[in-house]
Amino acid sequence: MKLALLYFNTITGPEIYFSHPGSIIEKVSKKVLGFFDLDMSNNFFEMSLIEEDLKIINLYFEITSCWARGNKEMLMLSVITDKNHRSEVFYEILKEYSLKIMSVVNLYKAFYAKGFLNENDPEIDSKVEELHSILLECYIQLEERLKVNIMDEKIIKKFKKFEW
Amino acid sequence: MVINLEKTHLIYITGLIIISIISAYVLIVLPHGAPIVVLESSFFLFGLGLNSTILLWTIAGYLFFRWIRTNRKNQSLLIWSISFLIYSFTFVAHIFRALGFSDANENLSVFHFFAWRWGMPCFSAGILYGILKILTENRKLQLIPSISVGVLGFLWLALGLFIIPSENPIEVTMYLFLHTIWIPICFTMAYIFAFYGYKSKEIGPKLVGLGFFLLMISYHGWAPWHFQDVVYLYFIWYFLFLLSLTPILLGFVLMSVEERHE
Repeated sequence: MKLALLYFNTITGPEIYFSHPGSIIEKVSKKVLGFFDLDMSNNFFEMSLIEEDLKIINLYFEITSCWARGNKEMLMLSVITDKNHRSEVFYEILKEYSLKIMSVVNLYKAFYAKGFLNENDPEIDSKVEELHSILLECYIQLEERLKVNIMDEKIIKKFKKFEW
Repeated sequence: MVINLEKTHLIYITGLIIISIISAYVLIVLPHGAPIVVLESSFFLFGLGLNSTILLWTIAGYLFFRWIRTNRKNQSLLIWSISFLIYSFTFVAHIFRALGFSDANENLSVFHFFAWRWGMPCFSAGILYGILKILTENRKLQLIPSISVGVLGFLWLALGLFIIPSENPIEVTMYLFLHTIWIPICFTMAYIFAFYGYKSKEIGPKLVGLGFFLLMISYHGWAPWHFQDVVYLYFIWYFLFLLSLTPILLGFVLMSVEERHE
């Protein structure tokens, strides 16, 4: 399982801001970035990658920004996981952490660390750090939830392998 | 219009006619039912035994029906079906005991008790084997605990009834058997079904779990209330036992219904 945070870079377009653990393979990351261009009516959605046996579960949300066009940063939390896991398992945690990210004052500054117009703003580094710790915490929560879910799925599978 | 209605609801109209005839007869003749003297003091045992037997046979029958309908693949259904059927023998005996058949009285001698209660260790081993067949594919893990429960159950029956010297061997046997095998097995079944129901968000398994839990509670009532001066309260536990079979039946029915609606 991998967690990624995507954002819409005003200059270069959709970009993977954070991924843990490690980076996401190019084939998958291209597809994830492509989701940003889709016009989704729901904020929470999933995509199956049949060939890769993977599922990408996404939660799109926005945070207010004084530096972005339209005064909002477009973000998406994505979980890349085994295709057999139900997306509902991750929803609550993704929702909780999206709210956490939204609640941090001036967090949008974390997305301007790579040499934009406001790179000298003293708050950028602390916001980057804050966002990273929130995302790492989110990953840990997702991993724990997944472990519990795997245990749950085990007993469900045992019963479901028979007809009743 | 009238002819159409008569054709469509012929069964209803026929039913009404039959009911009318019976009602007219009752209202005119005011019949007095024939007595069954033998039931005068044992009607409650007859009723409890009859209802228990009907419910246990319905559960056994339904599980057997489902086993057939599901192409005989779910062996647990067959094992449980046989287990419930064997368990019902005790209650069939209650019916006959209430009707005055002395040989059906399990308290007549230790041999009679054994003859009408051997189904209980079989039931314990059977339901455990059924659930283990679902939980594990390891044959040893399926068989060893189930056979152990069966053997231990029969051992308690043999020790309590025939070997340990006691003024009341049936009492010793029941204490041993209920509190070391029956109650823990019922609780195990209750927990596994309830856990599965909770995780799968299905009502059927939860009801089966509830049924086994109530079954366990009802047997907890045996030890303190089986004494002669308070035995009438034991019959209240018997009523609770009867009640516990309903959620088990309903739960198994719902499990197949919920499966079809997935």
